[in-house]
Amino acid sequence: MPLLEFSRARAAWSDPERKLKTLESFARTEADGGRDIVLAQRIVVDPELRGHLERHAADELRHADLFHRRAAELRAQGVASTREEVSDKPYDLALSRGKLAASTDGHGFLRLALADELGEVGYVAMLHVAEKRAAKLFREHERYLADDPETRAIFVSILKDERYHVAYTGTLLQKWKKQGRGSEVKRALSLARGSRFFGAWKRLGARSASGLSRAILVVMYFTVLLPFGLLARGRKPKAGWVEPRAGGTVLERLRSQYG
Amino acid sequence: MRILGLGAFHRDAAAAVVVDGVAVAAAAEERFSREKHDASFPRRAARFCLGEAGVTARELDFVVFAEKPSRRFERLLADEMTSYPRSWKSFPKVLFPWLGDRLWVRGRICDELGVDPEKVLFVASQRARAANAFFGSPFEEAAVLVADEALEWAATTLARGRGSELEVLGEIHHPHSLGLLAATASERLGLGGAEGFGRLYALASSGKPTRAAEVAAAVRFAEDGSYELDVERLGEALGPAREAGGPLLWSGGDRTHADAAASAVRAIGDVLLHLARELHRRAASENLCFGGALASSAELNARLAAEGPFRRLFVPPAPSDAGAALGAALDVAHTLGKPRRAPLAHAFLGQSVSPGAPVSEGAAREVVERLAAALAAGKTVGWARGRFEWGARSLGNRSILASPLGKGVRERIGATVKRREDYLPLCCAVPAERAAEFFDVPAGTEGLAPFLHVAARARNGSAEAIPSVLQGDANARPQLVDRGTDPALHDLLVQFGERTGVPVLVSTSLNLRGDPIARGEADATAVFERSGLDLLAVEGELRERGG
Repeated sequence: MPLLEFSRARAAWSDPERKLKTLESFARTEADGGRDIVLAQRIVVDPELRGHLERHAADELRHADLFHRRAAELRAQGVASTREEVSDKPYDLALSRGKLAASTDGHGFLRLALADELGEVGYVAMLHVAEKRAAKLFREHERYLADDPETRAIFVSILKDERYHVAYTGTLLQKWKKQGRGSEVKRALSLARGSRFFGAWKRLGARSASGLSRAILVVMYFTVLLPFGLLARGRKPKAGWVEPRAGGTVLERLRSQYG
Repeated sequence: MRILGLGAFHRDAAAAVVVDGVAVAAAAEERFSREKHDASFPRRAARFCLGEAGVTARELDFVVFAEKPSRRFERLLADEMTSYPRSWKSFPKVLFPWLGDRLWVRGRICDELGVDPEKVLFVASQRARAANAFFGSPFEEAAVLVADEALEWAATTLARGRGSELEVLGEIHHPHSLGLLAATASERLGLGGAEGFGRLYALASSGKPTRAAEVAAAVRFAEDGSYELDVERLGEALGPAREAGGPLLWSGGDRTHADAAASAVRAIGDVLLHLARELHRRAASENLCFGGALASSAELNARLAAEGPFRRLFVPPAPSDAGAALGAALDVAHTLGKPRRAPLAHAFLGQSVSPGAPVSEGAAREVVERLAAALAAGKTVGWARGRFEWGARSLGNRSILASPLGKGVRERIGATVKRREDYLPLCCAVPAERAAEFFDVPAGTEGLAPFLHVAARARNGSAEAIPSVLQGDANARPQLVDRGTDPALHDLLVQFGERTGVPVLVSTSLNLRGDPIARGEADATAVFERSGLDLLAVEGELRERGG
């Protein structure tokens, strides 16, 4: 487990507000995963796989539910997210993860990795790699919850399911290997690992660039903007009615990003 | 003329397509991304809307963005400079997304949709809200009031609509903003960011405005009909902020937080009435179209209708951020195309639950009969059919329904189905022609009731019959269902009435807490699997728990 993920797992539970955010984010991820698998189990042909996926989908939705309930308990205790920094969020979603944002699932995989586009082997390989990673992450999160037995119990329960998910996807991949589809399985696993790595690489690049840009903005704030800041400081905002802006033709006004 | 309207980067990003002045499709991005109040660029919603309208992006005449991005940037920059140097921490956070992305939204739209830059237009966000309120209304002429948080500078707008003309009469600029007042109150009470307004109004109905005088002192009414807001004083006036981890005090002996909410909502109502009087003086109309985030409060709308100077009131299904996408498109359609006015007859502008799978009349009738029987037997059911609703309210196409008879319904739905706080209201549906038997719907609000935008008092006697849909001082949020607009839900209500004597059903959105309302079959199934719903009907198919 990389050092970064250790510290992220620790930070996620460091105060009630972050805990709430983490629980709600896990709930969303699990619910998304569950929905995807509900769709997948309808189109797969292999009856054994369909049976597993049915249980897998129910597990994911139940996990979402467990996280939701715990988050609701925290909210009922008065824990609330401070006002959402919406100014930041869309940018992160839309650009820092690039155009992949629309096409990545909760585990960071390309959404293209759906059963109908990848085929059954590709889809199971994707699930296998994702579930292995999820199990590792959840084990890590569980370690930091010694002082919160209720939340810890959720992770213990989920980890049992994750073991089953890793096991059945592994068994199916082995079965297909034995049926002479070894190279197909190998290629699918490489693709699954690669798509995760590619997504993580892009996110890392975007985050580094974002950190650097913010640092530059702070420098600008104390240099270039200093005189403007001193002039504007404490200015009382204008009250009363303001007449609408006019000027230019209708189309010119509509084309302008300002007026 | 084919126009795509887009709204993004605040809350509830959305897209809408207007063809020859008629809204053909509209949807919020959250329904597709499954992220509540998703504010990111609405590419999935846009794709859906174009598909529904049968138009490719290249065939569009215009793409309209519901904001003037440079004006908003100017306002944010000015805000940061006003609090120099205390703003050094927030400055990079606020500026970063703008310099990297939002200022170049024209390019983004061209990249995403492959349209010519000449086709990309911008309508100021408050004007877009005003257009959404007026052009969707049934009125040929009306006064238009918009009250919201400021995106560019304007936080309040007065306008006048006539035919295909919309004229802005005056604006009040940030920080004198009713949206800011509501946001401050919601923040101090720990009610959450984007969802805070709805929670604030709901909480208010459990309290008394005991701090009204203190809150009123933070608002100054000017003689010219405008108002000033002293935000710092407002914070103190609301009392101490709720601590993280502290309980929300709204029931029993200590209702401190509900009282603070009621005081804030009272002050907001007072300012709205003050503005309405000024607007009436300037626009001299009997009709008022109300838009912006404040218009989503059924209680404020009821007060505006009862105490305001206008005889008739209209609020569109999505009055705020999402609605601005449709408003921007309607504004351009009417400004440049001058089509015949086409009032919004219903809010079913979203995606079908099962595209391409029409349900036979017989199957639909059978579903209604079985649902009526299950509801009369005390079961809680989910119903997903047809196109999903435009706006934040479910109006029967993605709904959870239950019998309102007896006690404990609210608690059961709150605890096992929706998993939400008890103080949040449960809406109800009633056949329009029988609404007067149960509720005193304020006169002049007939246009609001189908969209769940008005609160009504329970009539004497009905409070005992339907206690679970009443809140605070016997107030309810009834949806008046017209047979012509929604025959299936109307039939269900009538059949339920025949079985129980009361044609009223609890009706709330088909989602779990924190999730957006269900879009398609997979979402509906997920809600069914994860909640305590007894039955789920998806078009002609019924699923029973354990069945």
